Amino acid sequence: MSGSLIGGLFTRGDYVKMGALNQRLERQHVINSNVANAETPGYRAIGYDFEEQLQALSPGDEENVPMKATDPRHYINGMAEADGTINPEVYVRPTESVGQDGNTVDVDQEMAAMAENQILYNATVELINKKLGTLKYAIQNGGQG
Amino acid sequence: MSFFKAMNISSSGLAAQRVRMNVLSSNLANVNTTRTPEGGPYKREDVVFSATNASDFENLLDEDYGTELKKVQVVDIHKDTKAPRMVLDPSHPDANAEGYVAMPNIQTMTEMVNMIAATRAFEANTTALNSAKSMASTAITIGRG
Repeated sequence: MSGSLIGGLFTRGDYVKMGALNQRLERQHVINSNVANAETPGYRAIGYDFEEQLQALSPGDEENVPMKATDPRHYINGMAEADGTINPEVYVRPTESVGQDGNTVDVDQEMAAMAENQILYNATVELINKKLGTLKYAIQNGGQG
Repeated sequence: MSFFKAMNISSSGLAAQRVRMNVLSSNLANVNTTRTPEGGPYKREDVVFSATNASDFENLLDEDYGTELKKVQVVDIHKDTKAPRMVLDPSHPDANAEGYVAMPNIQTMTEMVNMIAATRAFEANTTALNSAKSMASTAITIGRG
């Protein structure tokens, strides 16, 4: 999330997209862990919420635009690091229902979350590709006008 | 490489369900076995799953060590100590003085139901693995456009 060398080519939104890829991958890990342990007695389903924190960093949200920090000790907001990256914690999900064996994984819910995560990951990659394609177009065809 | 972590977690789930399926098959195959090396009828077996840390020894220094992400592992195959089923069959060579034969304590229906559960869990892990794989394949298209 730090400033790029070629200032201006990549916007804050682009960095948010790149950060989102990492967050989605981490969520995939969490889902895979839950699915793998769907039959393990006593296993508690874990969760990973990053949308809220990412939202706070996204452009367009007037109220939550973080202040720019010039020192790592500066406070940006409760959730983001000084350079604007976010580090959500993997947490044990509070449960509504506990099975007989103490397992709290709901496979259907996990599968749905996984499908959603995969689609949004692919969509984000698509967006980044679009951006890179635009830059490439400008680089290759810009001088031919 | 983070993508492989997701796949590792899912493959541990695949391996565990496969072991379970083998044990269930063994139970079904031996539903009428009255002689075993340790003497007496065959005893029903079942697997014990346990959630283990997703980071192994190699990754001890990894920043992810101690995370909530869990693989699944078959830690034990335990023998069911339930009393054998006594069947009246005086002509059987293993019949006792009263003409009863000690048959394995296996309920075919229970084993079948467990087998379906194992199949479904295996499929869920396959889907999770494929999802991670698809995300990885999408990621390598970044910048190709």
